[in-house]
Amino acid sequence: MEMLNRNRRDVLKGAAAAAAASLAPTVWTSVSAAAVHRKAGAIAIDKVLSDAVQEKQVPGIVGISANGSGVIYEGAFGKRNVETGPTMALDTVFLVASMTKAVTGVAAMQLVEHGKLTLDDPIEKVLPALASPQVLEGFDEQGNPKLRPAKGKITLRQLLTHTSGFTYDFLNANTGRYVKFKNLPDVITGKNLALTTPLAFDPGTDWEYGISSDLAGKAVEAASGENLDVYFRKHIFEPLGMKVPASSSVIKRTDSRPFTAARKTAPFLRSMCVFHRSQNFLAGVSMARIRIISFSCRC
Amino acid sequence: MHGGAFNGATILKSSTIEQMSKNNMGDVKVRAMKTQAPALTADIDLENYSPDRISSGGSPL
Repeated sequence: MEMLNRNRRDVLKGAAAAAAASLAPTVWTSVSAAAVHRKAGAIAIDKVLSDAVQEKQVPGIVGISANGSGVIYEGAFGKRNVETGPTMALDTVFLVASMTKAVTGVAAMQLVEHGKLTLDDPIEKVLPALASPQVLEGFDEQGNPKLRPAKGKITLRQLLTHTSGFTYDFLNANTGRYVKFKNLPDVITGKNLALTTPLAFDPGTDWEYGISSDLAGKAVEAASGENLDVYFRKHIFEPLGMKVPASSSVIKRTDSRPFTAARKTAPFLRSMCVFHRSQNFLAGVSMARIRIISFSCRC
Repeated sequence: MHGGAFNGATILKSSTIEQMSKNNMGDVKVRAMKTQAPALTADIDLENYSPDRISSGGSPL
């Protein structure tokens, strides 16, 4: 188990250390891993990443390193699906998960600039479903949820800072229990019903990571009149020259993306397909290729 | 965030970037969270994050 306890962050640290030690003076002009003449630095990174796959810390991995001159390393190792085994490739489309939240934040702030959203007005002006939020205080002896009206209104600022009271079912025990009680879909299904959980605390009084970003994405859609992936593309990705942005059309492609593997199983006991064609929201999660992730990090 | 501009494209005003870079949470503290689904996520320990680092630009993670 010690081997499995070395997590992805350890792998990334190892790859970064290898890059720092060996690659700094070198810039490769080719972007194809197969075509790149593998120098010592690249070989060192290759070893860190391929060892992580061999040791079953991760089913597969794509690594890229870039500086102001361009890409200085690329490598792909392992499998996209631990069960069926297609090979990980440099253009594999990855779930970028909560990195999407930052993009949603940018979109929301653009609309604040344009006067279509405000940070401190009740968000119910654009999302009427949030007009009367309830706080989940716990469960009674019969196992029924104990709810009360929230003290205060939810604002966009609270959604963007995770102080609204909304949480994740996989991080908050009461919310998880409520989801089971109401037979709601898990948040990772991306279904709108997953966004109907009550608050864990009154708006603005505490902090907890959760579905607030997804609701901020809903606010962007309501205020702009555009689907979120369309908004991202038109107002953020295309102006920045990002040619392959994350979008629902990418999410629906199953041929080029990896499956998410369950953690701490023996080892990677199964793969989990966490997205479905019926996905309704993606402000908290979306997908992109590693080169796009790298590009966005340079912006 | 390059003041909100990159390669000639302005995505956000520099004043907005400044606003996003400030504390937008007041005295509310970020805290650690215990996983309820170990197969999906590990515990999230944010002990070393201060509210000053949380902006309206996205999540701290």
